[in-house]
Amino acid sequence: MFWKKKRLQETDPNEKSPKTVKDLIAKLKDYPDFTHFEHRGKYLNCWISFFQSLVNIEFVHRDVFPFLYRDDVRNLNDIQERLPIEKIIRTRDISVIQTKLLEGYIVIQIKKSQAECLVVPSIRVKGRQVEPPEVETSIIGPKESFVESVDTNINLVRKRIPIPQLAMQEFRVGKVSNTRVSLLYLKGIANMENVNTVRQRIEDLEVTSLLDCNMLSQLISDNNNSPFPQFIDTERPDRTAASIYEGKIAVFVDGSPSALILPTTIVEFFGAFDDYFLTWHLASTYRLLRLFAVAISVLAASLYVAVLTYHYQLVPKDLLGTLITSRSSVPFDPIMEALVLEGMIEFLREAGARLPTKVGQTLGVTGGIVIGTASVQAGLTSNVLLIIIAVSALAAFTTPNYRMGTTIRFIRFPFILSAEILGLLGIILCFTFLVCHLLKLTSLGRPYIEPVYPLRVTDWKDAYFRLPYNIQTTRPMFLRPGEAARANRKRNIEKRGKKWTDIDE
Amino acid sequence: MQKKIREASQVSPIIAFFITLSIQIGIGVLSFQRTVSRHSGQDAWVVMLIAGLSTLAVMWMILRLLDNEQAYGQPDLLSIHRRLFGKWIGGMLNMAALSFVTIFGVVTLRSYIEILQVWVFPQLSVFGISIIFCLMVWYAVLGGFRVVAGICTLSTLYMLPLILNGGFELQQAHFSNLLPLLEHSPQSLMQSYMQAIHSYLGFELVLFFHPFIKRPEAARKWYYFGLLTALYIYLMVLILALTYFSQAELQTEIWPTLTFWKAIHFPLLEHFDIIGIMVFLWVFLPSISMSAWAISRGIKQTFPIIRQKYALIFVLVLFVILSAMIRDGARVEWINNLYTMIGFYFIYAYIPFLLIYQLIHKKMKQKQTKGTG
Repeated sequence: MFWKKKRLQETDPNEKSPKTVKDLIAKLKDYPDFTHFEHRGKYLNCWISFFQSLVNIEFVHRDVFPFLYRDDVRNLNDIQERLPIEKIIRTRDISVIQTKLLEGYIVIQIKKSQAECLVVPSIRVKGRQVEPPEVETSIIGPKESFVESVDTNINLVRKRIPIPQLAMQEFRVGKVSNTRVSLLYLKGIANMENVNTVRQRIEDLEVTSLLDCNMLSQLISDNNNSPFPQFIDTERPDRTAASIYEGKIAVFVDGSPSALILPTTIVEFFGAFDDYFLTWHLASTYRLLRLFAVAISVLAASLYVAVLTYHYQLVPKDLLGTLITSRSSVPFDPIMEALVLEGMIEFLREAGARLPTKVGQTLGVTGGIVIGTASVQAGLTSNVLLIIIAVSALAAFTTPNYRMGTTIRFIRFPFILSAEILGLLGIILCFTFLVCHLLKLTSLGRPYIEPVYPLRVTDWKDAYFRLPYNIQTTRPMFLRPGEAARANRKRNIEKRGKKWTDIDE
Repeated sequence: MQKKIREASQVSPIIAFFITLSIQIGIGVLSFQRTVSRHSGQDAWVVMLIAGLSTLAVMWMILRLLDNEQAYGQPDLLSIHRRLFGKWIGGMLNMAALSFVTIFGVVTLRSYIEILQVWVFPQLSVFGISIIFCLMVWYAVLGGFRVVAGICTLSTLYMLPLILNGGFELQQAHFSNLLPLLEHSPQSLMQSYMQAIHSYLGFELVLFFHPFIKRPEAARKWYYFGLLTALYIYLMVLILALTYFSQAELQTEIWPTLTFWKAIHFPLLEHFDIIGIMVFLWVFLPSISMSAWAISRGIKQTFPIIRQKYALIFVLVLFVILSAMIRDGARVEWINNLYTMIGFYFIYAYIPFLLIYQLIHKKMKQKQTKGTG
């Protein structure tokens, strides 16, 4: 075919890569941040090359160069022995030298043309400080969030799980970017089948570059054609640690300020980590509230359209008067009304997300009020619908996970359209379609809507509601953990003694 | 010998409860109060009870049949036919059984569309709406038996509010309507019995999906629990209808449950019937998706060349055509009666016959081997 001609001319990456160190340095010499010079000391002459922008220059001046002036350092061997730095590599392999040089190592040669090099690590780690979480904020509880450096992130998790069983595997993903991807899990508790599945999926990836863990999440998900996120992304180290303790797997991508937690079920997207810091009554109520909010958010506008288009006999007599007055000046069908308002809300949201914070806030308040009231006064929409749409927009934002929140807002539109076509029947058909889709979905091969189907009553203790901690003595069944029990129940009772013996005793 | 069923497509034993329950409670629950009490009046509940208990006996026979078959291969009806009657007669019987399931699916689908036409959208085209339903069933059945079983499980969940709102009926119930007890002759009770069976039919699909249940010994009690729960729900709904409506009124209501739903008021909802009918989609969905699944799998078993996903499309097209051919309410009634008739003989005559034949077949085989050996 015509269009395949040019695309298929793949270049062999090895063809243009330098064969010797001399070639490599000749190639890099022109870059302004590349330093290549000859060190002439009393006892030792050598060539040193590194990227100024990648190495920790202070460290190099303070801790590496002084050693080159010592009188007992005469050749590469001496340097390697005397330099108090671990992981010094002595190699002739050009590919190793190239990658290390670009990671922030310094390369030391005796002669410019010599192939044997000493590669000394001096990586500069510069990034954001650990700051309070911005997406998953919490009122009480830890105020740390992940940053863009994978080492810092793993440090944040490891200090919460100080046992040698916390296993870590590292991969390099991306043909060009070579991004570090780390996988953390508890040995003996995480299901090895899950670990192997994740590992295989990551190893099988064919991508050029990998920049964020949300990208990775889509690349390794079970079903690419689903609007539902199949793995949770979180920026909270405490949540990540708790999930690892449960037997889940955490995946970190270098350069991404969040971790992926897998496998997950759909209800976990509606649980905030705050739920574990409140008493169980409050936590359960808020979880149910969030689920109720999701139902409102998806169904409210479409119910309005369906009832006003087809099933007005469902409206009670007392409410009918209010509806008629509110809609009497509106010249459009309910569907047009709903779409206009929904569109406005979506514009506002999108504009608010893209604009700088200060401008965004002003826009949110004034835009919302002005457009809302004005559109009612202009007779474009009715008051009642304005309230319904505002409530449903508000309800969508109660979802703690941002990606799930966007999905919820998105699936509302098919519902509105089908309500216009078939009324309530359209809504229920759309709902059935959605449920069938959810029934099919899996996360790492585990069922997505787990505590409902397959029905596992023991997992209900931490799904739609959160029961007290003394009941949560087993890990979730759907993870098939290596060790099911969290705490020995018998010993627990023995230690605390009988709770209730008699009155006043 | 057929391929063994993968564990990934099997479901746990407790799901057997939900499948039996949700298949049994189908479209009949809206109208059976009228048909059952037509001949037996206030004694209809006795008939319902006896018919329900008889399903337990039939279930025992079915499970016995399937357990005996376990030794020879896959325990389902189609394999039994093939093994006992050979390739040709067995194949014919398979086709007959599949046609029966087809009628089951079509009856369910068409009756629901009939209700939609009468109560919600009078101008709804049968052809169009059945295409939409079948597309949905297609999407569900593509996911395999697990998704169909999932629909059955969720259906039980969504059914609960529909059944529980019978509580509203209690306020206006006149329990004296049930008196005098056992006034009707055995003949009229027998006539009601046929109608009662119509509501209970559907559980014989166990014959098709049983191999997909993990640990069949553990599933046995769940089958019986499912039947008993269905019996309980039917009995409760029937007694409520008998006490809520007078006999004369009951006979004029085509769908007594819907008439009753109309009387329920909520502050934000004038009456409940339309919402109820919509949620009722989930009560009939298990029956139709399970029958579509069973037929498409049956076609694959009989003609191994055809893949199930292609057979499924054929089955659904057949559903659409057949339901479009049933034009009006009278024909819906007619096909319902036909279906009850076939179902009656299927569960009370054919299944016992099959069980006895299986035993004779086994004895004959043993004699043969003894004779030759």
